Formats: sequence, C-alpha cells, structure tokens
Amino acid sequence: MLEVKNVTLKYGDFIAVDNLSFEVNKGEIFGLLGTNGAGKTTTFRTIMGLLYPSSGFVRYEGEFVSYDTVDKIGYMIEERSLLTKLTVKDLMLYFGQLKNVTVKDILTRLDYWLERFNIIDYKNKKIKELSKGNQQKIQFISALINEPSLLVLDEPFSGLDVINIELFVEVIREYQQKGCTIIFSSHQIDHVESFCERLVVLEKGKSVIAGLIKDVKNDFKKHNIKVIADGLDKEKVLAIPGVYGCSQDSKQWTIKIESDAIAPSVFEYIKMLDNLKKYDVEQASLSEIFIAKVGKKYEEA
Amino acid sequence: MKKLKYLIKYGLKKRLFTKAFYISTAIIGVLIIAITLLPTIIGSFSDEPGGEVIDSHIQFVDTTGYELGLSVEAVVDQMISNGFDNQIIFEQSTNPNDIPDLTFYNSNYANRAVIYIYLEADLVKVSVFNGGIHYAISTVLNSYLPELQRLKYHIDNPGSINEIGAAPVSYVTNPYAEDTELQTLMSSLSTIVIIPIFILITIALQFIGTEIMEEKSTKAIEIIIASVKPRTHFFAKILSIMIFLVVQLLVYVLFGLIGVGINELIASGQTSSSGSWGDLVGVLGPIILPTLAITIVCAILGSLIYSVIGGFFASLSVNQEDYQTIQTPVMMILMISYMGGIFAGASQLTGVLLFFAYFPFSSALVLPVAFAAGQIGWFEVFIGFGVMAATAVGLIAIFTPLYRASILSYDQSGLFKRIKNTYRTSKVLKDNQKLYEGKK
Repeated sequence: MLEVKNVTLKYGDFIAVDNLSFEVNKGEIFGLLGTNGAGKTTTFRTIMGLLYPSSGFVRYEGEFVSYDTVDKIGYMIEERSLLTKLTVKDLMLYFGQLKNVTVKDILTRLDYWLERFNIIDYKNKKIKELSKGNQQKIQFISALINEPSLLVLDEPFSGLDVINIELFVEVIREYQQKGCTIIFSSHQIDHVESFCERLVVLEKGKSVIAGLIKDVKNDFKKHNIKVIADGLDKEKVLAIPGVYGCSQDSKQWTIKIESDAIAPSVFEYIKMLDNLKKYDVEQASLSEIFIAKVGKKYEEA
Repeated sequence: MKKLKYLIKYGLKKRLFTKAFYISTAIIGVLIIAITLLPTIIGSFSDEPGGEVIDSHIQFVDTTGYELGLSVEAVVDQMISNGFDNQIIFEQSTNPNDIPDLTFYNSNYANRAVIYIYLEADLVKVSVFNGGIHYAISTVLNSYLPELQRLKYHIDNPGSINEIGAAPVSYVTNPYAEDTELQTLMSSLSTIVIIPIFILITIALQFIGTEIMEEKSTKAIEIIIASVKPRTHFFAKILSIMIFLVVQLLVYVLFGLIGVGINELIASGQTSSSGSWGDLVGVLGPIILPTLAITIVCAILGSLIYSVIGGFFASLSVNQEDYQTIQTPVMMILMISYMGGIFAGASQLTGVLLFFAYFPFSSALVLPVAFAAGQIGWFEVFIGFGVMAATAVGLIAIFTPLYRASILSYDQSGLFKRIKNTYRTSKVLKDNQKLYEGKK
C-alpha cells in the first residue's frame, strides 16, 4: 500500500503541495489529476523519494520512500523522456540496469513487450527513427522493464491512437490484477473515470476533490437530464426554477439542473411534449465536476 | 556503488568504444609517432657523411695529483669519436692559478667548458663551468664524473672491493645571465607546452556538458534521477570523463614513447647520432621529463576542476544552446588562463607569475611553462598541485548538493538568478531531508 500522509512541500514562501493525503491500495488504480503547475509532478517526485516533504510523509509497503525503494517503481512522465540517439535495445539496457535488472532479464522482457506491442522490428532502430506513437510505447515499456510493484503513469495515452490506447489499457489492467499499485494521471478525464475508483484533484498544490469517484459524483448535486422529444421550447425550460442550462446536440437535449429535486418539475413540462422518446436523469460527469470545481477557481484567480 | 560503477562503465563505453575514438586515436597516434621520429627524419637529410662535427674546447684543472683529468679526457675522447667527427680541443692544467671562477662567464665562453677537479678532506669534488658544449659531451661527463671518487680510491687501495660513493659534481651556472638560453627556448615553446592541456580541459568541459545536456534536454534525466541519486549521477559523469581523458592521455604518451623508442633504435644503428632526441633538445634535455610529468598532472587536475564546473553548469542549463551561453564565463576564465600560460613563459614579473601559478583555474596552464622556463621550482609546483586538488575537492563539496536541485530544474532566468534559486532549493531539500530522516 502507498500512503501519502499530510504531505506539504514548501520552497520558501511558495507551497508546491499543501497538506495532501491519500492512500492507494495494492491492486488499485488511483487517479491523480491537476492542471499545469497544480503540483502533480512534485507529488510524483515525492512519491518516488526524489524529493523530501517539508512535513508529512510517504510510505510504501510500510517503509518511508527513499532511493532504497526506487527499484520497485516504474515511472512514465508526461513528456517524451527517451535518449533519441540510442537504439531501443541500448536504451532499455541503460534504463533497466539503472533499476538493477540483469541484462538477461532486460533482453527477455524487452522481446516480450516489443512482440506484444507489435514493434519487434524496431529493437535495433534508433529512437529518433520511430513515430511518436511507437516512442510512447517504448517509454511505456521502459516503465515496465523492472517489473514494478508501484507504477506511476503520467499521461500514458498521450500521442496514441484508439487501438493502441486499448492495448495500453489491457496491460495496465493486467498489472492491476497482478496486485500492482498504480497511480494514473491523464488530461482525458473519461479515462480516469473508466479506470479509477478513487482520485485526487489538485489545484495550486491543494486537494480540491478527493475520494471515491462514486461519492464525488453523489456529493455533486448538479444533474443532467437527457431528453429526446419534439417541440421543446428552450425558453420555457430555462424558466423552470433550478434549471441553469439547456442545449441541443443533434436530436438530444441536455437540461442542466441544480439538483435531482428539480427533475420532477422539468418532467411536468417534458411529459406534455409530442413524440417523447427519452427522459434520463443522469449524474454530472467527472469532467463537469472538474470544470465546475477547478475551472471556477481559475476564474477566481 | 553498483549504479555508480554501471554509470561510469556506460559513460566510458559511449566514448571509448566508438568509431570516432578509434579513428581520432589512430590519426593522432600516427602524428605523434611522426613528430617523435623528427630527429631521424632531420638526420636523414644531413649531408655530413662522417657524422656531426664536435669542436668544443674543454679545459681540465686537476689539483688532485691523481691525474683524474686525463682519465676523463680519455673517456670523452673515446666516446665522442664513436659516431661523431671528433675535433674536441682538450687542455690539461694542474696550476692553481687556472682554477675557474664566475669570471669564466665574463669571457667568450661559447662552446667551452672548464672542469675543476679538486680534493676536499681527501674526497674528490668536481665543479663544471659549462659555456654550452655539445650535448653528447655533457652526457658523457654527467655519467663519468661521479666515478672519479671510486677511481681515486682504487688508486689508493689497489684490489679493494669496498663500495665507494660517487663524487659530488656541481654545475656552476652563469649568474649574470638576464635571459638564459633555456628561458629563451622555453619562452618560445610555452604555447606548445600548454596547448595539450588547454585541449584536454576544453574536451572535459564540452564532453561533460554534452553528456548531461543530452539526458536533460530529452527529459531522460527524469527517469535516470528516478533510479539513481543525483550525487551518484554527478560523480559518475565526472569520473567517466576523467577516466576517458586519462586513458586518452596515456595512449598519446604511449604513442610518444613508441615513437621515441623507434627513433632511438634507428639513431643507434646509424654512424652519426645526429638523429637522437638528445641532440635535438640539447640543453633542454634534463628538464623535458619533469616538465612532461608536471604537464600530465596539471592536465588531469585542470580537467577535473573544469569538468566539475562544466557538470554543474550543464545541470543548470535546459538545452545545448543554453549550456553554450551559460558556460561563456568559464570559457573566458580558461582563455585568460591560456594567455597567462603564455605570459608565464615570457614574463619576469614574479608576483604576476605566482598569481597565475597559484590561481586554481589557471594553475594547470601556467605551472608547466613556468617550471620549464626555470621561473619556479618543485616547491612552487607542489603548492600549485595542492591548490588545484583542494579546489577540485572544494568545488565537488559545494556543487554536489546544488546539483541535486539543478538537475531537475528547468529554470530559464539569468545565470546568477538561476544559481541563487538553485542554492535556495538545495537548502530546502537539505532541510527537508534532515527532518524526514529524523522521522525515520
């Protein structure tokens, strides 16, 4: 289990991370979100023992993280982090041996992963000769080369097409089933929503949303009503107390309401419409919650 | 330790086992051998079939009563006749009025020497006043004059097998000379002496910068520092560059020795010894080896200092262009030191010379020249070595904690602000580490 407890990291007057706490269980995929400069990278570096917190602590498997634990961790950063002049094989030998993996194991694992990602022919090619998507695969393999028990993935799907995203998802799920602790970050919130049970959203170093995604959604009162019907008058809908938005996408209308208690009032109007095919009251998406919480803060700033 | 070893091995492999290294080493090796074969090449163009003419004038003043002067004359005469056109004029005297003094250097002493052999407390002593006789004669005298003590003992005690010490030989130099031949020669050679050091230091500075920047600009450093401590990374980079430079230096010295060996082998097989290095370097002969040794030590210590600085400056940079910009002050110091090195060869200003010799960033370039020109001795050289070694250790101690903060920073402010920010961050990291380790 990874335990981040009351972690604060200060640089003089600047607070990079402020009293952050969360736990990630074995075999769990945990979402860590935040806009640029929110303190995500600092948090990742602290988790890996590269930075020491000003207060609080990070423990992994009951031990304080330090350079003694780094060999158990696989790390993939948001940007490309590959030595482009090296061949795929040489790069893996370099990164793998820095994680204390034997040459034999590195080569065996490399062959396996290259085969799995359909890029075995690129083993002796220089990184710079590879496409962006294939470079991303190499970066992902480099995070897995030490068979980590803690995997830190910052934007792992960046630059990938849908098919390769599925391939990555499959591997991440496999690691989850093997009991690997996974911390996952992505700007595509739907990925986080589909992947993680729990999350933390950082804003200026502070946690603004935290906990089980299910609870976060339940706690967020605003709901959406999806309607397919003829003759909907937008002005009449917006006139209903508690309705704050109404928009049409193709044939479907989305009515935004302050809470699910408003839904019956809206239904009173909708049921009078012709050809009513759909009326669904849905919880707000994580994306909407994120924009509502973080976006608002940005505006205030 | 395992990761440090691996990083050093990786750095060395990257530099040593490359086509570029093989090709450059082969080309430079051929050039070094060609240069060291220069005396033979020059000798082969000589049009003196009977060997070089040696027509020095040597006077022996022997007051011992043992006719030791005659024995030296016989040895010199015989040795020089073998390979040279011996036209040496010998003169023997036992007259105390002929005992030489410093007035020898007031006369026209060129190509002349007076060797004064005398007894003091029944022991043989020798004073040599050398006005610039041929190097071959000096070599014979250097090896034979100390034997005079034993010769006298065997005359006094025929058949004795006791071991006797060598006769002390003092070489009386010209005290009035404002600029000796040696100094003039070394002044003109000073730029040549410091060029290899300057090149090695520049290589150290550029290589370490390129290596660190390659990892930092591609962000691969994020993954590397997530696996090894910044301190380990810093040390590994410095050590791999230093080992590479030492290997390169030794390879060049080896090429030089092979060349000199081949040259001497060819020269010894010729009727004339004009193809020998000894003849070519003449009066510079006795100081060549110590200067070479000092040059090697200076090259290593100088490269160490500049690679530590280069490593830290590279960690402050965000890409190659940025590194080239922020290392400008370092290059300027190096250039000033280079000029100081040239100045050291020609200058008679002791204060300025000592400043450059002891200033750690210019010591490496100044010490060998100043020593070769006779402006400083071994004592000053060792002080210079000490200053350089202490500086290298001091810089490592200062830069290592800063490196931890700078290697993962992408600050692009001005150089001094960047250093200031790095210092602040490193202080925070250190304080946090103390607190954190306290909790453990």
